[in-house]
Amino acid sequence: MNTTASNGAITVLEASLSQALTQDVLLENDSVFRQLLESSNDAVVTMSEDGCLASWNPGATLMFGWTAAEAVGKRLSELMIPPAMRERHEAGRQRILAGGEPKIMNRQVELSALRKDGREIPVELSVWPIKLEKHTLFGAFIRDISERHFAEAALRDSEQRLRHVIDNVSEGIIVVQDGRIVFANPRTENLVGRSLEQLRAQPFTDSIHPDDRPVVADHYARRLRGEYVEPKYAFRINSQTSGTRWVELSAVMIEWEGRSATLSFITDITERKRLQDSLTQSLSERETILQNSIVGIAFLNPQGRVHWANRVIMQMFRGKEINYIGHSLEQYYLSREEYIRVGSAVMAAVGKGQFFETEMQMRRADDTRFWAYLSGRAVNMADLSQGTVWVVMDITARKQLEESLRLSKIQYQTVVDNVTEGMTVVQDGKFIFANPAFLNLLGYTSEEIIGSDFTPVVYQDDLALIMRNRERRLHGEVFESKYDFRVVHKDGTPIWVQVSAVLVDWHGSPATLSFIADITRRKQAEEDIRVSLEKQRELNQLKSRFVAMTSHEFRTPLATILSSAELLKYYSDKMPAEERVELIDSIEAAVRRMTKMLDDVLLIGKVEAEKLEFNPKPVMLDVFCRAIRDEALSAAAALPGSIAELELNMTDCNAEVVIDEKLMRHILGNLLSNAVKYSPNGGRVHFDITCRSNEMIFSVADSGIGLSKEDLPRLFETFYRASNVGNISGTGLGLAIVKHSVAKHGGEISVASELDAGTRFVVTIPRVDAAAG
Amino acid sequence: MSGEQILIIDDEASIRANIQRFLRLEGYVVHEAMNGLSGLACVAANRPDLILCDVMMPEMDGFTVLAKLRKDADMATIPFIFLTASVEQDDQRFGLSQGADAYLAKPFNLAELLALVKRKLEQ
Repeated sequence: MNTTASNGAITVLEASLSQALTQDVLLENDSVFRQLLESSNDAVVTMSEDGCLASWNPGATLMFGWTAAEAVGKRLSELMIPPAMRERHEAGRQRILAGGEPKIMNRQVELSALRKDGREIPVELSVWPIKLEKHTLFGAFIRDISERHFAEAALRDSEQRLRHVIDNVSEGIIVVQDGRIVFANPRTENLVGRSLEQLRAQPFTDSIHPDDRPVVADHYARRLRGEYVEPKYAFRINSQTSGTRWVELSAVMIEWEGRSATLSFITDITERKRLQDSLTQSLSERETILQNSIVGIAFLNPQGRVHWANRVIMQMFRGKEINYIGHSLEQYYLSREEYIRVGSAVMAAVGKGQFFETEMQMRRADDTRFWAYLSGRAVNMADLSQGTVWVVMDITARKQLEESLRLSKIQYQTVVDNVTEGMTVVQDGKFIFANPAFLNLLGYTSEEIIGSDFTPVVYQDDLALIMRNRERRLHGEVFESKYDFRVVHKDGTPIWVQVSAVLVDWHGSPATLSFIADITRRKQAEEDIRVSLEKQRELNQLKSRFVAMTSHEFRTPLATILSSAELLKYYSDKMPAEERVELIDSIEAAVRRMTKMLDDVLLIGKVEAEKLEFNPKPVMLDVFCRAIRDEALSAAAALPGSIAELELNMTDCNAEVVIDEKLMRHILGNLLSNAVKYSPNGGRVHFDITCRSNEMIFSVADSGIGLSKEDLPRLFETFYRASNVGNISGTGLGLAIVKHSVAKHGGEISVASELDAGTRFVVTIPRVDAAAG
Repeated sequence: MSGEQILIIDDEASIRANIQRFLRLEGYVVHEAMNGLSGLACVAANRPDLILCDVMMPEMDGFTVLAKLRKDADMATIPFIFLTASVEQDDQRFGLSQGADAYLAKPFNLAELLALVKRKLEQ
């Protein structure tokens, strides 16, 4: 505006000068000029040839601070030109005066001028010479161009900033004209991986992904035709450096160097697209999961009506309508009451921010029933208006299993409670379970035994076996799991049991489950059978030995009898009379011997049949004992090879006592004959009788072969014969008869013996006097 | 036929006495022993032509006597007859297996005894 005004002024001034020939016009013009000069914002000054200021308008005063009075007559260079430029100014003035072509004449130049206050200001200067008759004046229009300078600087700055923005903006900026890229910022170069030169050299579509080229070309064409194009759209570009990238483009039509072009802004949305895609995918995955979850999932609105339900729900309830938005669920409950009851329970729970959980029977669309597990909670605890989310499971199978488990548990419980076998579980050495049969067997209550150590229940002698087996079992060893041992009843009685034990898992830890059968009776029966079998075996052995022995014992005297009889029959005439008597005596002795043996056998038969008679009668003890001694002596004489002597010693025996003479004869006769018989090397047999006031003591001692310790306990058994008898004949009946005979008298018999040293039998019989009897 | 020596080993005195009486009447020289031990001593002392021996005897039984004799080459050939009161077949077999020439079960007839003795002496 300022420029235009001053340009106008200059034009007027030039025109005026060209018409200066006419005085009238001149005068008129002078007034115009004066007004012009007075009112101009520009400084208008004139300078004489000597470089002094000739005129100074108010504009100059305003611009430089000097008044016309101060300025006129002063040298222009000193007043207005900065010291650094004065020399050039002076050189220029001299050149003009010398007739040279002034450099600044008739053109506008910009330079610095000095103000009164010493500040330099940019000015635009145009100088022209005014040729007068005598001399030449120089006129100058001076314009303060501080503001223009400032604006220009501001423009430069702004351009620079814009360039900076364009160069550094994260969006690509391109200008396309006639199908070619005419401008692209560095970001674009970076995006497509091509330099501006490369971009300019090819159609702009070359950088676009082949699949997206038609779309982009179509958009471009439509935009050129002025049709509607959506302001933003996405497509792919082929970057030479980073492959395919998604970009979003927004374009506007602009004028570029006088012709229309499109200005496009390109944003790299590859990452955004990826995030979006993955979000979309994850949402769709979630949807898929919900739809395909094996549990039923439903969202209900705050009124308890269906908002969404997955396929499982539909399948579970066998109805599509359950998935209809706003569908009521009442029909799926067994009754309206239940629907209301559950509904209010849900409200109460959800209202408190809690889960609601239940198992209940529900009704399907086809009216069949099933067991359902329901679990629901508010979608958003803080905002109940968002409704509830539910998990529904068909638990019919589980319920059936539970029911059959419950039934089977009852059955097992019944079995366990009523089984006659004891059952117990031991874990870490302690009873943790015991059934009634087990408690009953041991006499404990459940409270007494559960949690207590198991070892006191085991019989001490069997504990090692139990511990060993338990260790082996816990180490997983497989072995005979059934074995017998003894447990101890609460009252201390040992009980034989058979245990069958297995390793089980009991609440996650190994334990031993034992089945325990009371086998006391069996054990007793076994023992009885064993004892009786043993007895039987021994009896058989004894009997066969008896048979052999009696055979020998009978055949030997029979041989004597037969040979004696034959000798008498055929050779009596060849024998002297005393020899014949001897033969007859031998026959008699043999018969006596056989009779005695028969008596013994019969006697023992009576003893075993408990028919042994007891006929006590008064007897003179000393007389009786002597008779016994004599009988023994004669028997010993008849005994083959008997060489032992017999010594009788009686103390206080002159008494009449009551005894069974026959039995007493068995007792003493057997003891004495044994003493002689088992002293094959001879020696003395001591027969001592001591009669005390209350008892009679009969002692028979020999120094014969003796008895072993093993034989002593069984010595008095029927048919039993000591192991060291060798070929000494005997029936094994004598001592059995002795024992029973002593018993009949209410007495006792004891024996002390040592192998190869001798034996002493002592019989003690209570004394019964005849007078008392 | 006279003069042949026969040894009787038996712990039963009356049997020894009767056999001795009988065989002496039949013209044999008879020795007696009351058990196996004294029997062996008597064999060694007299070298009898035949031995009659009981089986079950104290000190040493008949089996042992026979076994000992059979080990002695000089005595092994003496005819040896068991006189046994046992009825057990095992004993009889055992006796024979040990090399006894015959056995005679008690009680026996004197005629039987004489026939056996004569036969064994002839063999």
